[in-house]
Amino acid sequence: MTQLILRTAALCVGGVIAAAAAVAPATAWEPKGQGECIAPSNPGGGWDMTCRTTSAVLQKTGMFKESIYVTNMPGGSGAVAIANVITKRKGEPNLIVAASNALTFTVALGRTPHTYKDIIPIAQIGAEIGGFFVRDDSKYKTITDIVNALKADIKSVSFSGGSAPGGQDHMKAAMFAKAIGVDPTKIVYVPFQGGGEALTSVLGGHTQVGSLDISEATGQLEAGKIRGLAVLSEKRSTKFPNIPTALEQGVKVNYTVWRGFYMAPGTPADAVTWWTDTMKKMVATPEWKAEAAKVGMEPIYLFGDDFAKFVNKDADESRALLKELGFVK
Amino acid sequence: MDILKQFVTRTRIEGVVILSVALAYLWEAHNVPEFYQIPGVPGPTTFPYLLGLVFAACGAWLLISPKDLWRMWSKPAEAVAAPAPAGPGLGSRIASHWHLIAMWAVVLAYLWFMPDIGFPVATFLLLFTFFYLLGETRWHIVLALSLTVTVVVYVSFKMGLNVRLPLGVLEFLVK
Amino acid sequence: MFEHLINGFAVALMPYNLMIALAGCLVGTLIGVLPGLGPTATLAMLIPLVFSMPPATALILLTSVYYGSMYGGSTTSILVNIPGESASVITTIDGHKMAMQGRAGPALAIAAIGSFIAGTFAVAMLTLVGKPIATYSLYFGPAEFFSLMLFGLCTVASLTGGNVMKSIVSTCFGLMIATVGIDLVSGAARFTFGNPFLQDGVDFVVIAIGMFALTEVVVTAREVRSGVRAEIVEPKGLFVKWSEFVYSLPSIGRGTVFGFLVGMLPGAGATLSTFIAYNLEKRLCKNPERLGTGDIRGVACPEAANNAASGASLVPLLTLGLPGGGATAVMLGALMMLDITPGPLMFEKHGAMLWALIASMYVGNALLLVLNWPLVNIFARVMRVPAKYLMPIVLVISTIGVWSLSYSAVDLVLTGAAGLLGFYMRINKYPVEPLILGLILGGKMEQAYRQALIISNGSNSIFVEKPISLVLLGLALLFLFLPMILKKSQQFNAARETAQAS
Repeated sequence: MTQLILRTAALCVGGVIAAAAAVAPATAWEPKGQGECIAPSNPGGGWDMTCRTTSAVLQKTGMFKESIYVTNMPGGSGAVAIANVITKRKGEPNLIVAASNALTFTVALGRTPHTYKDIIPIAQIGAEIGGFFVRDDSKYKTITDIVNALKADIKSVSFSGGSAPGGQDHMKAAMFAKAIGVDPTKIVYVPFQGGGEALTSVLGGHTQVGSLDISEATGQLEAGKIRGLAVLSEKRSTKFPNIPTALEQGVKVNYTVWRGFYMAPGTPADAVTWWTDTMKKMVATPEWKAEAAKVGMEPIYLFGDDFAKFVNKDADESRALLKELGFVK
Repeated sequence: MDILKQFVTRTRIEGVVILSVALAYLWEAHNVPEFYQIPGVPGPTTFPYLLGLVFAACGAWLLISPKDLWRMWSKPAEAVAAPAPAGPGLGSRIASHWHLIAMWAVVLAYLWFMPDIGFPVATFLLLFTFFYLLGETRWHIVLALSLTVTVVVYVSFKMGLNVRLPLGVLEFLVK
Repeated sequence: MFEHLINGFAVALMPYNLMIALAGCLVGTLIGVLPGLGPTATLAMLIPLVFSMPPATALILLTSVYYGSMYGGSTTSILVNIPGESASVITTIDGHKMAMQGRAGPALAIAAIGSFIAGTFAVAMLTLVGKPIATYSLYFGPAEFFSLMLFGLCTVASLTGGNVMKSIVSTCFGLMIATVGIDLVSGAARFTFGNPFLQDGVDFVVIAIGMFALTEVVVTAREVRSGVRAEIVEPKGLFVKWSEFVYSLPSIGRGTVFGFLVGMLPGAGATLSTFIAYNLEKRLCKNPERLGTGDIRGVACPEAANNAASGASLVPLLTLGLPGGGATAVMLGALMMLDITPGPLMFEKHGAMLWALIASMYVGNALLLVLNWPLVNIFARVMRVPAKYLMPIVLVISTIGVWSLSYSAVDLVLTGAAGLLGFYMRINKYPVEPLILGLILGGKMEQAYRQALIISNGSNSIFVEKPISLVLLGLALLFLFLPMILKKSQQFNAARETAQAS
């Protein structure tokens, strides 16, 4: 009996809240209970860092009242997580999933039957700038030296990167080759397990050019063990403004690594709006800026529909490039 | 007939199994999709082909068992003189090993169904049957022990180590 | 430099930090004991905590947990024949036999002592000559790695029981399992049958839990049931006797040195070092025939090696900013969250904190040795828990270990399959260790081979043109054929002696 009364009371209160919500759209939707951020990588990977920094900032600034816990769901460069979210976590309003270009390649290579159209991309919260790096004593002083060497003999320069062929580090090298008019399928690209190993190989002189993100190279750049020949973004990096862009040096390559989040399909629209707005607010906080600077993320943002359009375009372009290279039939 | 029985040894059966696994593996390696490849460098199938061939060779060697053949050929009389004791029929073998088979069945069922029926229930059932199979027949002890272990393990891993264990059929409790 | 170190100790020995270190060691050991949950998983769980602490304390917590879980890994190997992580596979060979002979206490104790000596040695090297020796790891490119892996694979020879064929089959199958997943060098998906869960390959833990844990549980259960389970001998003494310590000291020394050298190479890691160290031990020590029958050196050597290796993997991380194995990658992530950019300038920029970290490694090793005193006591008692109660619980915890990898039902099914296979192999005397070795080395070996060939434009001569690679290949051949040559020469000598005598 008491239970029944309680339940009725709860219903009433619920009704009142719902009514209030309908009246005041500003408080339309607030997350209840714990939040969850799925990092489709192992702990320590890029997606893991994205999740952990975001959840830390959201909690520190009080934007998310309760705790957000991070779940690692590695597998198939995001393929496992996207399948899991679409089939098992439909419509969960407190769940966000970390994503980046690596997911684009998983989609573009057809390693998952799903695409960005099956999920709800909500925000790009930053970008990492990639570039080409050589050992400090390398004979290549500028990007033009590499261009000349490649044009003379494409086998003479070896690139190393932290992703498998068809991944972002390889694509950077391939786009570069394409831009300077040499055959991108003939480029010598040595894939390593992660940027750290690729960097080690450059430092050891086993490969000549590292195709890496600036954040991966930061420590060695500061120590002067490696030199940056070019960054592949529109603007120079805020952290290392002395490295020229490829565009400045007359090579038309512009490719940044975005980092962001998506939500499960079927999520209520007001929850999506809440998360999009919250992300928008979050990236403006000093706490976020400090964290982003630590991991070397550039302040390049996109939200909501803009972001969704961007990732779909990204996937299409990547697929086109992969087709040209012979990855996708 | 005797010759045949002598020929079908455990080693040869293993040889057949290994050979077929190797062939299946080679077939699957053959089906690895053609992908981007740097010309003149071993591709994704080179290493699997090599392994498959070595494995197949091992299987073939075991199947032929040359030493065994040589013995059979050189000393047929001796070999015939000591025929292998006729093994019991399949039915009686299952009967004598029912316990082992039951244990494997329980373990495999646990691994197969745990994600669906949930950790607590599956673990309880597993422990209950396992303690029983291991000779603890006092049912109240079995019951108490399985319950305690399930609860303690569930709570300590879920709360202490943040491992997500599925609730499965108990999902309604938290809803 | 010693001034820095003393300052470091001042920080590390602050009561709060000391407490954190102790807690970290304890938690690390306890989690490390759980099969399937190794250092990497443990560290990952702690990363959220890192945010809420002063940076130096956070680093101390992370390293003490890392060390603790390395110490804990050997415990289950010894007690229940289930390796807690890949680096403790070798320890099962002698460790569990010792436990069955009632020497669980000494086995656990020597593992702790060996780990202490090796761990302290590694930190001392890091302190004294860290930077100069770290650059040696840069000489290892793909070609050198391939030769190293090949050398590692040849250690299978020391693991073979009687039947060489069975070892080859086992190794080959391990290598085959290693080819499952997306091939790093070409990006092609191999043997995944379209299943995204298989794209990252089969994790070592999945196979190891199946082959060791499930098999052990069922085998023990069967023995208990049919009453043939060998009675565990009443423990004679809980701790190592002085004579045993002296007996195993040379092995600890050798294990430490090889472990350190191999562990410093990025990606080679602790596991390979244990296999190599055990193999060398078989070749170098007196009475090698005792190894494998419950010899205390068979525990001391690999345990020293794996701790020296895990300490050594911090050398390139801290001096060059390059991550070594899986666990150090997590540490790298944590450092970045603490606003320490890993790189050669780390010590200049964050010297105080890093020296505190180094000091805390000394402290952590000492703490673990002290901590193990009571822990050995407790763990050795596990042997007295009747198997009929212990084994089902082991089974449940092992399953959680597999499940926690990626929450994948596929992993559980594979574990079951590996269990059945392992059971068959065990009954029919197929050695399991070569399979594990193949599984661990296979992927990396193939990768290195193909990376090297991409660099050399397809020419195999790169493996003999690079001096380090050439030496390693030579050693591999030597270790493979040396026993045969020795045997032949012994036979020859014996024959000559008998000829002379007559």
